[in-house]
Amino acid sequence: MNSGVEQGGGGPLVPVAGAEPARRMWGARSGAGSRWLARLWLASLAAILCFLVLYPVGMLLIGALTTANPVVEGYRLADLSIANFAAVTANPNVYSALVNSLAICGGGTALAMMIGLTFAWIVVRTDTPWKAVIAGAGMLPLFVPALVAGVAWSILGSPRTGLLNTFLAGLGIAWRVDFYSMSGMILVFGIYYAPYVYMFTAAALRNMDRSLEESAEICGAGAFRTLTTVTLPLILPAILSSMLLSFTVMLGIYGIPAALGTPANLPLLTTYIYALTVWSPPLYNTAAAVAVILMAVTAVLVYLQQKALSRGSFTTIAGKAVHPRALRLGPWRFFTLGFAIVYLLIVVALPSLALLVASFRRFLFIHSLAALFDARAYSLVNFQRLFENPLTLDSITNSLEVGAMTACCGGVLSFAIGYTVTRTKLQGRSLLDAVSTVPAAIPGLVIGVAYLWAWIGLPGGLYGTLWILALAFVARFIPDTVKAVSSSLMQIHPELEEASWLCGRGVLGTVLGVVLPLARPGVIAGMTLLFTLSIRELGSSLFLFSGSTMVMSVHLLNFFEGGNIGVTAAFSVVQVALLGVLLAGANRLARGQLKGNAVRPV
Amino acid sequence: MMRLRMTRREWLASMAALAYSARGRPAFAAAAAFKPTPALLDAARAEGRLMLYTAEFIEVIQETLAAFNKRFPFVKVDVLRLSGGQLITRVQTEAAAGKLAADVVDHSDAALMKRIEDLFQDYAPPNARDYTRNALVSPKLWPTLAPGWSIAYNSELVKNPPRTWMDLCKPEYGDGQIGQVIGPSGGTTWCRIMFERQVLGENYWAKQAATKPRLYPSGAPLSDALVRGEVAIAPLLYDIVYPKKKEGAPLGILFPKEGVPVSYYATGIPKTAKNVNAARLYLDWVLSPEGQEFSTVQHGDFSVLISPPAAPQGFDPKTDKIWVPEFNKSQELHDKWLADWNRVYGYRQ
Repeated sequence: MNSGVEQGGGGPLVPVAGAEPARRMWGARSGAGSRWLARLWLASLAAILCFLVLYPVGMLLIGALTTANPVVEGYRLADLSIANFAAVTANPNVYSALVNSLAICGGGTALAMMIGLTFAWIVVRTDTPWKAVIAGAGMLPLFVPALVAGVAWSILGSPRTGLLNTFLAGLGIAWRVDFYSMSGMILVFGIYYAPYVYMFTAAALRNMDRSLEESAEICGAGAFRTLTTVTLPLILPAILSSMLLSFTVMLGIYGIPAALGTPANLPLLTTYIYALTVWSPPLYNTAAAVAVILMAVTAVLVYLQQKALSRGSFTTIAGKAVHPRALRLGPWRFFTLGFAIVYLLIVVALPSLALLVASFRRFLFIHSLAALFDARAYSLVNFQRLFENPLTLDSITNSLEVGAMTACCGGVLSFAIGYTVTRTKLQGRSLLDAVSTVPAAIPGLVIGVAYLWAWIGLPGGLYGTLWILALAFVARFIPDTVKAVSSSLMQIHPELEEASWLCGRGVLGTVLGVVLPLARPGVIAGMTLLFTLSIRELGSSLFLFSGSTMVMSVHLLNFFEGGNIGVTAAFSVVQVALLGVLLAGANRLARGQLKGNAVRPV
Repeated sequence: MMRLRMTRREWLASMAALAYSARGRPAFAAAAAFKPTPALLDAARAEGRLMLYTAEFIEVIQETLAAFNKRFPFVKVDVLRLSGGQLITRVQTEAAAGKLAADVVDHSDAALMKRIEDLFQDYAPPNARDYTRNALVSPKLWPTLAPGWSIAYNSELVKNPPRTWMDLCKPEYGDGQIGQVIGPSGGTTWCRIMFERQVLGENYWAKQAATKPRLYPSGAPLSDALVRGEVAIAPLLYDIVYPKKKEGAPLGILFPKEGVPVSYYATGIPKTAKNVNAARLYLDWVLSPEGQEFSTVQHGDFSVLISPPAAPQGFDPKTDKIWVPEFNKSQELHDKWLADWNRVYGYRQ
């Protein structure tokens, strides 16, 4: 069996560059009928992606090349021009916002990678105490809407009124923190998106064949060397995917730069784009042009990632049961526990505390440490106002419904695309992969209006229903789920499918009986991510919700735009609690699956 | 159809009426109860529902709808709330696709609504003649709300608050103590900055900008920053800060003596409305003295009725005066003055 790892003397252990990936199905062993079936399959996926991705992106491009709303005033080829691009590229403010975005999101991604990966290793591969609790708590930032995260950290880290500075002043310390700064935003982005890296890398670490590390240890490699030369290279697809995902998601986030960058007059592309859409009159066409520039930046990153991944094989799941064994750290396990506790204090406890204070406090004016502990300032009034609002319960029900619809439809589609791309050698699969990555490059604030332009004319009663929201969410987050699923699929050795065929199972039977069960942690992680992202998604919802399909993200924005931070925080607490319960269920599902992760008999 | 283009004389007469209404009335009589015609009531009852598209803050509009439903519980109102620019884009796109679901569209920027007035049907409330002429930008669009600007301050932080707009130029309020909403944020802010330049002087912006105010994208986050103490003083719409003060926030609010800039909403019924009678009943009620009194007393909005039924708390009709922009002049000056404001305040658009 090819383990996918080459060992050479005392040198580094590296992925085998020439290992044949698992692309032997359909095209390789089929007759004319099967070939037509395969082409039909590919054409179907391509058609779905065209409708979900290329059509709205096309409308966005047309919007960027015109000065009018393409649905309202139509467009002619003769009217298309690059005037918007010329205006945008001649504007030094755009360059300034672009540089700020790249620096802050780059720094945030590096930090997220360090934190997320360390956390994944601690939770999955060590005997650190209470790691199940740590794992659950470490995911919490993922469920906090970006807007609320920004507000929470501004409550904590404002140079004038931040709770941290109130504490420092109360202790007589002159030093002050300032989160209204580039370093402040990098820190918040880093800790806020570390769970993305954690989710991907933890799934990869769980799926990795432990025998590879054992081989390294037998050959004399120490723990650190095994980590850096075997473990990390083998989960490189997950690391790169999660870094790319984090970076592109950060590029499209509005809430954190709005709360922390705006007071410091530090514009990022998203805050600049948002400003374009809310100025009077709104400049959607200019915003579309800025979005196209952002797409170009991300496209370069996607290309680099794919180039990096094409250099080696990352197969780690083979035809042998996997029983991940915890690394015995001895006394060092208390060090890792300490690290985890400090991380959780900073990432979970502090912002949660800020949110709880904001949600239970009638007003957020806290002039001294004593005022923070004044019980008279606290009440349930924000929660009362929240639930007195008739739209609150409607928005919760609608969001859960649309989240489930999105997770199911998106999960199936992502698995189909991921499988086709990573496990077959059908012609055109690379194009499928590339197209499915496109939405990652478009800021949510702009793609929403592109969905509206593209789909409002659809016949039938789709517009104004939850289904059109689900459709938009599937399209918007397909890169994220495809990456999650593909990372898991790339780790499954082809011999397992070949064994299944030899035993007489067809393609569908093999996929459902062998591949899907093995990739299930990644699929569940992808669907959970999709569910979570759908519930938080604002950009597409803003233009597609109707009076009867209000969702939580829009309702939250309405409270925020109403200047009511107390009710906004109360609603955030409700959302976090709700998502925490749902995530615990999904986590349980994934864990249950892990126990039976050995290959089923075929 | 009502003729809208006003002569300068008519406009001055209109302003005189406003000044009279603000200064001349010693007290406000209770607003007469709104009485719709039986035919309109029956027709609205038969329709039984209404879809409202609005740019008003969600909690404020829901309080208004609760009051409307207290009078007319048989009309179920669905609300779609978006910020100004997003709402206009949504309305235009839905209308072009033949899928505009709104029975009423309610927007804070009259100029943007004027651009799409063709989408709306003719409508006038029973008390149409009682409205200030220069607040009527179209015979199809009506000023359901009229928010006015005030100076608000954090009463825990500011012991010597500014009393006038000119005070906001004093160096003692410098170093980022003042928060300002950016000029291009929308129609209400444009009204204020137009007032500043026309009434307070050509160099007012330069003097005020010299205090280095902190800029905010809109009034809501600025009001939150004020309560938290991020900034100490801010020009803000009274209807944003008054509800917070009512609930006990550490705020002081005053109406400067130089004048209170007041802008007005533009609200209309689309030609494609499915529930026209419910829409008319709602607008008739909102625009009636009863409806105007409700929004003034509950939310702190002004009314552009020639004889308003009430004034916001703290506004003394004997000494305070409101300022309403002339619509045509406002349109003429908009782009150039906004560019000037951006330059003076160093805001990068």
